[in-house]
Amino acid sequence: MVWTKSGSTTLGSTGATLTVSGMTPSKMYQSMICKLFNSGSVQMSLQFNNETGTNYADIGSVNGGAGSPLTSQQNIFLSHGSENEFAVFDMLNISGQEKLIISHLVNQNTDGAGNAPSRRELVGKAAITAQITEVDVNVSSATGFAIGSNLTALGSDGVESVKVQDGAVYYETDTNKSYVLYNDIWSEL
Amino acid sequence: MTIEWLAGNRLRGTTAERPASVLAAGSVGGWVELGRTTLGSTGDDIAITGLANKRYYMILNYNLNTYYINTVMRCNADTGNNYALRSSLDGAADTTSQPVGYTLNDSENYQSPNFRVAYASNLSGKEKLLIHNVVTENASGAGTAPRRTEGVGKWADTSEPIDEFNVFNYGAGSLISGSEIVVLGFDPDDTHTSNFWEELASVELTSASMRIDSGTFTAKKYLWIQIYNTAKPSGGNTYVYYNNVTSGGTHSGRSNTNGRNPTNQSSLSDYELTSSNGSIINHDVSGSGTATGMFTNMFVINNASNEKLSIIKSVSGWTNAGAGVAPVMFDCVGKWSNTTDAITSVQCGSTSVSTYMGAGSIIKVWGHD
Repeated sequence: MVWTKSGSTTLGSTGATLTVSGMTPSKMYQSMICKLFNSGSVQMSLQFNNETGTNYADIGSVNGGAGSPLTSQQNIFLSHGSENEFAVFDMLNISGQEKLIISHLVNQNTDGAGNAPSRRELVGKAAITAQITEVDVNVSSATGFAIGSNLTALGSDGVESVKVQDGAVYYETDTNKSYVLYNDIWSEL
Repeated sequence: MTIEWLAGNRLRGTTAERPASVLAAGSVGGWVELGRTTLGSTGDDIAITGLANKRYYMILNYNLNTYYINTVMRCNADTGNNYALRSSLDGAADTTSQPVGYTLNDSENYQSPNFRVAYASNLSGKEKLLIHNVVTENASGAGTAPRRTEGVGKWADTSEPIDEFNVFNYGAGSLISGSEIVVLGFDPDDTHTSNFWEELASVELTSASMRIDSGTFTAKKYLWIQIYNTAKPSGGNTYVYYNNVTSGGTHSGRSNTNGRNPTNQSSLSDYELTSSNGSIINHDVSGSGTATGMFTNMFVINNASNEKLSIIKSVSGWTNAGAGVAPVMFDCVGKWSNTTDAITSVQCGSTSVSTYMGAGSIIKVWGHD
């Protein structure tokens, strides 16, 4: 298996949701969220597969503080801030198992180097047994996301058509040339 | 004619048959290497320049030392007071103090190597935001626990994208030959079909077992290990082992649970574990629910001649009974004091509980030199 892009969405207009849908399920996802703040006091959260029931729980630590648990929620609470934010989360996505995530988020705080960013560490679970094929990042303000906000998901179960490892040597019979592979690029020897 | 696959990683075929991609048609690869700089001699600055403009960066940084080092980062060689940070050392309260002109401080002066994994968001008209975790070897040997730094930073420039990273030592000592920064990139518009992270092992248990074993793989300098135990026992502290060495007390580690010391759940500190038989990846608090799933995501620097340093994040469900109970967050770092062998296999579980890893548990190992 190989890592491949499962999906990516960049907003072309302000909005309240970043969605990546129709993903071919992978057992592991790694996702990046770039929230560009537009307006309102924005709470940002995660939902999967359009599941809106109280099937989510999480515990998060802000700036190294004690973890604050949330149970029987309708989403995983990522952050609350009226600034730009960047998050990376890794997710376990196995059919029949609760979905588990590990997230790190940085909030830029007020513009300028005089204002230290804040951080939020979080783990979460979704009591959803089906594999996740859609990720929604929602904000509480209808126009909370500015243009250019992005959600990208990478999946671990991409399919290789041909498995050729770095260092492979290819003898070309019609040209009588040889090539070596590195980072998916063949270079003539 | 079709491609002939020969021994020794060799292939033979026509020009038209030469494989142009390792991915299925239409697929886009994951993180790709944009560049790296490896010090060939002693210095205080590792610079990587000319980076392609990508929306996201992943940074792997390994620093070898002589005498005391304290490493920080800088973007685009900007030496102005245009940075801010927040970081915690060993689970202590955050600090926002910083050396002028730098971000992502590893927090302390040490006479030992460290390993940093960082991510950056990179959009020209916006402040650049960074997240990092660092493990520092500390005094060599399993009798001393490694140190743990986690933090965030920003570069307040809004005029240009990042095209250069610097790792700088402002400690009294120096970085030495072999210190390295590798920058990976991913952009939503990418169409590449390559990957930095190669799959080295992928194993799923068909029945419960004391440990899950990756099997032997070709050693790689950087390892990304993902583990899922379908049935971690209540109160079970889990360990990873390397090369099937499960005794001898050659590991040490540091653990934190839900932002607190796991032994009392009140102190702003980590728990130190020394001379253990494996590197700890979760440290349960007392009365820890029922058997549950646990997911671990970890990175390892794997140089045969140096202690192997790991950054470990885990989450357990506490109970599988649904969303009525919050999961548990584990932050750990580890080291394996072996300085003669590279890691060529990974095991996870326990040394005493025969069914510690549940049926369906998995381990995936990704790597790259």
